[in-house]
This record gives sequence, structure tokens and C-alpha cells, in this order.
Amino acid sequence: MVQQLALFSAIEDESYALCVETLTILSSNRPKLFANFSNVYKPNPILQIEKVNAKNQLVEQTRVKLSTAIPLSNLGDGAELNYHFMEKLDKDEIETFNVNNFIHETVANNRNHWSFQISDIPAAGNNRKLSNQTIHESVLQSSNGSVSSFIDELGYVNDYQFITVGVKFQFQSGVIMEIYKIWQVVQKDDAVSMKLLTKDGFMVKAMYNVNKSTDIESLNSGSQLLLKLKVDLRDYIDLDIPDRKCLDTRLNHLD
Amino acid sequence: MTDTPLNADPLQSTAIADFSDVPTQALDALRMKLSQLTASLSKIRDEMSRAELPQWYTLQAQLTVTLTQLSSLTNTLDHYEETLDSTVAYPLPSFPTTAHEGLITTLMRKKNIPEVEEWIKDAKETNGLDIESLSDADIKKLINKDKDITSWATQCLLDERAKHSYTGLYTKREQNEGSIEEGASLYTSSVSNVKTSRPFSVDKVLKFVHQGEL
Amino acid sequence: MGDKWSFELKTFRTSAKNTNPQDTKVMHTLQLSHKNNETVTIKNQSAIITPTYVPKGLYDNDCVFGTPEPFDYMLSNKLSNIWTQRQSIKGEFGVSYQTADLLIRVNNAFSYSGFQGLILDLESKPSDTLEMFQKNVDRIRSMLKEIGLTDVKVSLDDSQKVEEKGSSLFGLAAHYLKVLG
Repeated sequence: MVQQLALFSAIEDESYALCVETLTILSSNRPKLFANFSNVYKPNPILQIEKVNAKNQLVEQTRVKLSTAIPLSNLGDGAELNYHFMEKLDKDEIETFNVNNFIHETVANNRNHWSFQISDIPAAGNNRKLSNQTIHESVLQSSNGSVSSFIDELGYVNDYQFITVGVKFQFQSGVIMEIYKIWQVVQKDDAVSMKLLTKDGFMVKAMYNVNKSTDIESLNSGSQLLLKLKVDLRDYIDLDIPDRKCLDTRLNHLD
Repeated sequence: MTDTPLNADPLQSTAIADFSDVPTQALDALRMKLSQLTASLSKIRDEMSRAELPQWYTLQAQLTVTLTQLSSLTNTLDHYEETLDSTVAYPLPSFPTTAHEGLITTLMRKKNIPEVEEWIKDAKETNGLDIESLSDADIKKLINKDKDITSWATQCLLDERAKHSYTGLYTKREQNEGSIEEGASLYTSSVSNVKTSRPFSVDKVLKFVHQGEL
Repeated sequence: MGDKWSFELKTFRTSAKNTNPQDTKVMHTLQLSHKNNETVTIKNQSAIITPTYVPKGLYDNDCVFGTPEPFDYMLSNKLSNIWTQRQSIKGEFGVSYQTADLLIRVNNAFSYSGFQGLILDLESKPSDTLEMFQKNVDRIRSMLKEIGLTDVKVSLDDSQKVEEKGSSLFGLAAHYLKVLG
């Protein structure tokens, strides 16, 4: 389980190169390319799921996200990739990446490790300076059958899928900053296509992860580090708190 | 100074002394400089005797002030040299010598106390010069030599400073030699006005990531 | 005498209505200390393993942010509206013996209601054939009979298993389920 403190922003495509240089210097680390495929499931609507558990506590139905890494060799079709790769990704398709093959291979291949995440809605508050969200995590690997058949047995069905590709900067202090693009993955019959959601730019995320929710010291120092980063980058990138309702994974929430 | 007793009887002296020739201006100036100097020196002595020594820049500032005051004092002495050289102090007959014999001897004493004699002796020895045997010309040469060393040290400092660049990317030497490429933008530390903008709604994208809604 | 070992088998039941009539409605999680304490989660014929380490690829690619939990944590804490824990059978401080033919692990199985029985986990040498193994198992069974233990539930591999970590753990877990269920 992780307490994630975060701030978000966005930059236009043209600012990418300077932004990478700036963050390289700020973090004292080179940008690392990353890519993942996320599959979000929702409780099977056919099953009539209770609103309370056996102890009569209210438990809201929530989505579940399974993510797996997209190997860079798949992404770049064998070529050596670095952060410049992102500069070419401004269309719906990623030229060097065959999303169709990737998805079919991943489904057939039972050796992939998948992360299993359930997120709580970020903490509320009047004077919020940061987004504070609890993310419950586990790691799955198929032992018999496929991961998707297991998720089906669990009582969940497919909701939507997306792909994230970007660069991440690991700061010495423990803060992580990422600049990335997101594509929605649409499967119609047997055809798979992608649609770029972060049009003309990149999403920017600054986060600090604390492993124990009781570790007040780390939460405080993490907050300070993120807020200082916000001040350092002001007038260049405006890091801000997102609407917490947009980070809510509950089903049919009434707000 | 002249004093003109109204009657010649010393035992009945109600003579009014004429203080008009007392070099008050010189003495006042000296007194002021000396008191300033002693104040600075006591301040330094007090600071140095504390458990926690002062910062080097504090000490250097105080030292500079003290040296300036010392220099000012010697200038004043120099200025009033003639006046002071021809000044002699002596007690008036109206001074109660019997009652305050100790006081009068202390005030009129011209010989230094042993402690001060030691200091002066030390200073002369440290100097390594035999002032008595040197002619005026020699002394002048020594002073000039001191001045030369000072100007050499100042020049050294300036030269060394010119070799380093504290702002910008090129040293003065490189700039003078012209070894910089034409058109190479010189670094000026200024506030950048490059800004980024958001081409899409962050909340909307996050909403999709967490709820699948477009 | 060998290392101490332990295991925990949890049984969850779905509270969802309208499930497939053929559905057993039951999910199990099993942790075996001698298998790196990984959690195997089984429902019907589907099984997943939750390793105790985080594969670097998941970390690097932003799939995982911190220390992952075993899967039964998810069932109990976040999916309790669908899955209710019904039972937990635990064996702690088990002992293992290495004989000439087999590696025998012994443990006492307890649930909330008390002592459930003695568990014997028999593992053959990698080089043994299926026949040799079955002979060794039969020998143990007859020994148990001699000391009066006749109420015995047995589950064993019916084919030679290749040393493929993933599937063998499912198979092993299935045996535990069969004898403890």
C-alpha cells in the first residue's frame, strides 16, 4: 500500500526539449523512458454485488487497474530508444509499435507480471496543497489459466484500456517527476486502434510515494519537497492540485 | 603663556591665569582621536577575549576602522607638530601641591611607565631597524619601500581577480584576446521569461484514466 | 531434521448473487513458507501467484509505486463487498525431514475451531520417476495404517511435473485444497 502525494500540470509539445534539459539538471539524473499498458476492470454488472460487507460496513464498488510494462524493444521495434523518442509521438498511432500484436501476445502469454491496483479517492480538505491518495497494490502472475480468466472469476469485467509512454526523472530527494502521453486503446471486433488523449502536449506529474500511511515524518518531508519543487518551477511549469473527483475510481459515484 | 600677578606676593596669589595661548584646538583634536582609538582597541580586545571568536569579516572591519583611526591620529599629530612641540605644560602657583603631590608628579611625568617602555622596545626590536642611526633619507627610503610593497600586493590581487570570471562564461583575458566565437551568446544571469502552457485539460485526462469517461 | 515451515490457507466465499449455477463460489489463497511465501490464489481452475518481490520492470514502468501486498489483503480489505473470508487453516512451526527417498514436511493444521489434522507434504527427489514416487508414497501410507491412522485424505501428482515454477505451485496448492477442503 502506498500514500501518493502528487501535483499535476501539462506542457505543450514545443516545450518538451527544454523541459527535459531543465528537469535533468534539477534532478541530477537523466530521463528514463517508460511505457505501460493498463487494463481497467469494473465489477461485473450481472452479479448483484452488495453495498455492505459481512461486517455491515459500507464498501463501495470500485474499479481495479491491471498494468504491465511494454518492453522498449516492442515500442521501438528493436531500435535503441532514448527520450527523443517522445518527440515523434504526436499522432494517434505509434509508428514503431504494433499494438495489435502486443495485446494478443500479452493475452496469450502467461508469463507477464501484472500490477493490481485499487485506489482510494484522494483525501479531502479545505486547504489542500497536494493531492494525497492511497493506492493499494499487489502483483499478479498467472499460475494456471490466464490472468484475465482469473479476473473474471474474481467478479470483474473489462471496462477500458490505455497506454502510457513517457520519461521519468528520479530526484535524489525521492521525488519523481514524469512527462508523458496517454493513448486510449479501442478494441472493436478483432481490430485494435489507439487514440491520443494528451493532444499537442504532455502530462506532467510530480509525486512522492510513502510506503506506510503511519509514516508522518516522510509524509511531511515529502510534502515539503513537492511544494518546494512547485515554487522552484513557478513561472515555468505551474504544478497544481487536480480535482479529486477526477481521481475517484468508484463506480456510479454520486457527486 | 604669561601670568601677571596683580601683586608680587606669592602667598596671596589670586592671580587670574591667561589661558588664551593654550593650544586647545590641537589638544581637543588629539583627545578626540585618541579616545576613538582607545575605544576601538578595547572593543577588539573584548571581542577576542570572548569564548566564541567573532566572524572573520567582523574582525577585519574592526581592524580596518582601527587602522584608519590610527592613521588619522598620526595625521593630526603631524598637522599640529609645530604647535605641540613648542608647548610646555606647567602648574600654576595656585595648584595645591602639598595636598596633591602624587597627582602633580603623575600629571607632569614625561617618562613612560615600564610597561609602555617594554612595548616600545618590543616594537623597535620587531621592526629590526635602528631608528637612531638612520638618516632622514634612509627613513624616507624605507617608507617608500613599504608603499611599493603595498602597491605591488594590490596589483597582484587585481591581476588574479581578472583571471577569474565571477559572472558570465569568459574571463576578461579571453574576452580581450577575442578567443570567443563570433555570435556566441554570452551568458547573462537574468530572469527567464520562458513559460509553458497547457494544451489540454489535466482534469479531463485524469478523469479518463480513473473512470474511463471521455 | 530440517527447517521450520508454515502455511496458511484462507477460504473466501462470494456474496454476489446471480452467479453462474456451476460456480463453486469459493476462492482460496494459500501461502507456503517453503515456496518463498508467495500467495497462490485459486478459483475453479484459474490461479494467480503474488510474488513477494516486485519485478523491476513493473517499478521502472510506473505500474507499481511501493511495496505490494499479498492478494488475500486485497480480498479482505478492498473487495470485501464481493468476497467474505469464511475460514483460515494455519500450520505453524512445521518440521521437515529429509529421508533417503523423500523430503517430508509435517505440520499441525489448526483453524478457528481447533485442530484439524496432521499434514504431510511429500516431495520426491527430482530424479525420481513417477513409479518410484508412488511406491514411496504407498510405503508411507502403509506406515500410517500400521500406527492406526486410517482416516487419511490423499492428493498427489498424477504425472511427471516439469520444473516449471508457475504451474507446479498451482498443482501443489490444488493438493492442499483437496486434503484440507
